[in-house]
Amino acid sequence: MHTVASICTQDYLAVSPLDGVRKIQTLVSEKGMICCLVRENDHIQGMLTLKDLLNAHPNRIAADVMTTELPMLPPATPLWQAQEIMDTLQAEVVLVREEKELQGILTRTRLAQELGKHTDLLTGLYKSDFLYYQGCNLLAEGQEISIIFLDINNFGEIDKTYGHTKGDLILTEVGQLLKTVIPDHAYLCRFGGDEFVILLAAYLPESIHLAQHLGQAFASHPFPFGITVSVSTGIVGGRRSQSRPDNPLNMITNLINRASLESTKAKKIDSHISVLDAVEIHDIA
Amino acid sequence: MSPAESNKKAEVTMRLSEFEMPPMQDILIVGNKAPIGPEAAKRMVDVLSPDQYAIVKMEHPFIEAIVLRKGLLSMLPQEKLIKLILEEGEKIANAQMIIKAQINITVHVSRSVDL
Repeated sequence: MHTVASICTQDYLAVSPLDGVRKIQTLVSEKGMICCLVRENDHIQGMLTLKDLLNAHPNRIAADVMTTELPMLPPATPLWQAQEIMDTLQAEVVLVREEKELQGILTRTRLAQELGKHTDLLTGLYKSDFLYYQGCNLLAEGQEISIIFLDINNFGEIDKTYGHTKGDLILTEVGQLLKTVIPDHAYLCRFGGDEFVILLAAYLPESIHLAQHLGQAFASHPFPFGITVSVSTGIVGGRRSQSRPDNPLNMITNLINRASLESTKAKKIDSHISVLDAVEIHDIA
Repeated sequence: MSPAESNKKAEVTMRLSEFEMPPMQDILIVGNKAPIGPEAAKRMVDVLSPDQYAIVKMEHPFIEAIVLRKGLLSMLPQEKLIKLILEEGEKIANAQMIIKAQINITVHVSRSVDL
């Protein structure tokens, strides 16, 4: 998983608490920055954003204008978590800091730019990195999880019969349909090609029920150009055990892989749903 | 008199007075859009009179902070003093202003003792 350490920048501007606002405005403007740090004797005292500088009297000193409550993130913070924290704090900039050592700063713009790479442009859904992050969170919280892996049946035929651009419209429509059908506590991503994955914080029976509901939704949904679309669904439910701790990322990877194999099996089953129960999830120490 | 023959004179007036130490007396009421902020004011007087002044920041529509002489707080509790300063100060101050105030506190004590 990607963390803030990989995208924070050390290219930031630092000024003295006694520097005047007018001087700082000029510096920030010349260097094209959106913020600067206020530092005295190697100690970060505060931060000035463009908003702070615009609202301040130009004669004031940095110490009278700066924000002293500095939002900080450890370098190992996953990008998705960084977004949640910055949204909650309504922070435009955060310091990336391990104990007392400043590793850099991270702006909302830079984070959005990076997270954009993890969003599928065709469907608007997140890519798999998002699901791995949420899966690790659920495991850390001690929640039950299950994975639903959906593979569109005969999508290659749809592409060959109707053309790839119409195939893309079908993928977009599938993404929209899934978004409207899944419950609030489920996470959805486009895994790749014609495959979608749903992570559910729930026991297996709820996932099976959701998969059946999805099957009905696909059957009744009017897809573009009158194309009939159905999916093969592989479901894996985790069973919690306390045998030994393991890496949560490995666990999620393993569960998704098992679910994908089940979706392949499901193609040969009339119901197009294949369930693998009780994959062992080791409790996280 | 033609312009060529004009004789320019400058009149100089001087006003001499003793420099106040520090240049503020007891209290500064700092507006939130004032050209000098409370930290700058405190640092200024700290250089001349170290550790004698404190900043009290506040949530107020136009007053950002009050910089006051710490000695006053040994005579009157902070919350009562600030309430008093605000009641009077906000009648004349605005967001752009810095108001200098002088305050005299006299404590009247009347006690009876056993004879």
